[in-house]
Amino acid sequence: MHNFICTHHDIYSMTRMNVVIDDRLEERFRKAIADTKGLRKGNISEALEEAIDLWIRSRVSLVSLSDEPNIEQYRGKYVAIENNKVVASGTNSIETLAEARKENPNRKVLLKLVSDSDIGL
Amino acid sequence: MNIDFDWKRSNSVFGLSYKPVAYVSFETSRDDWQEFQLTVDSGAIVTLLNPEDCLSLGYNLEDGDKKILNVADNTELAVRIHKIRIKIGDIMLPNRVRVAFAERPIRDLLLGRLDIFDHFEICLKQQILQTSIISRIR
Repeated sequence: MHNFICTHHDIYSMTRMNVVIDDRLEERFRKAIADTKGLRKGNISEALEEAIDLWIRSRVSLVSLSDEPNIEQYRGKYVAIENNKVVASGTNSIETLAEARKENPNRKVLLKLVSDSDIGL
Repeated sequence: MNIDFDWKRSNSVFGLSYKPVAYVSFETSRDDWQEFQLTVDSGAIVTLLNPEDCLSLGYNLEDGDKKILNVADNTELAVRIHKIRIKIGDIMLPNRVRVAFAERPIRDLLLGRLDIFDHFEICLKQQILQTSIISRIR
């Protein structure tokens, strides 16, 4: 068994995890990293983060994916999203943009049509 | 360069489901960009938006070439084709892209193949509910 140390870091925090994994798995992991990313400093941590993210997604994503707002109440309408929050809605994009930009004409928003269709059109 | 988009929750006749989306920015007539969430639809020949979306981008719907699209339910859909510069995420396409604006309201906004799919490999990863868009633009 191999004692693996994973250091996670971003601009806010760093976490060190000590885990024990199978030697052969560790060998395959290092080889895959070497083949795809190269064995440079930080690549193992980066690959571990990707692996952990994939593991989480494959198991819990059906329950809750990220922090997307619940927009089901807007079915059939357009919504304007800013910082993951609905800031305006309307029957079309013109109306929705106008409402979103009432106070700031340069406001940047993402427009979504909350589809009520099961097969596209 | 590649970019990943999480699939979005969508209630369907089969209950809760997830659909592949991409965030696409369109250049407006005011030299600005407006971002839309589009459903990635490999079955759609062309990127398709609503008539008012054309106006909100600052273009006149009737200025586009008129085409009639055949829809899966055996109906026809009149559209106006405009050539617009677009970005998928942060990736700018090298040429203007043909975008269809329907003349009647549609119920979903679609990212279709024309002028777009030849620049990318698009992987729909159902198991992790993510779409990876890998650029071939050099």
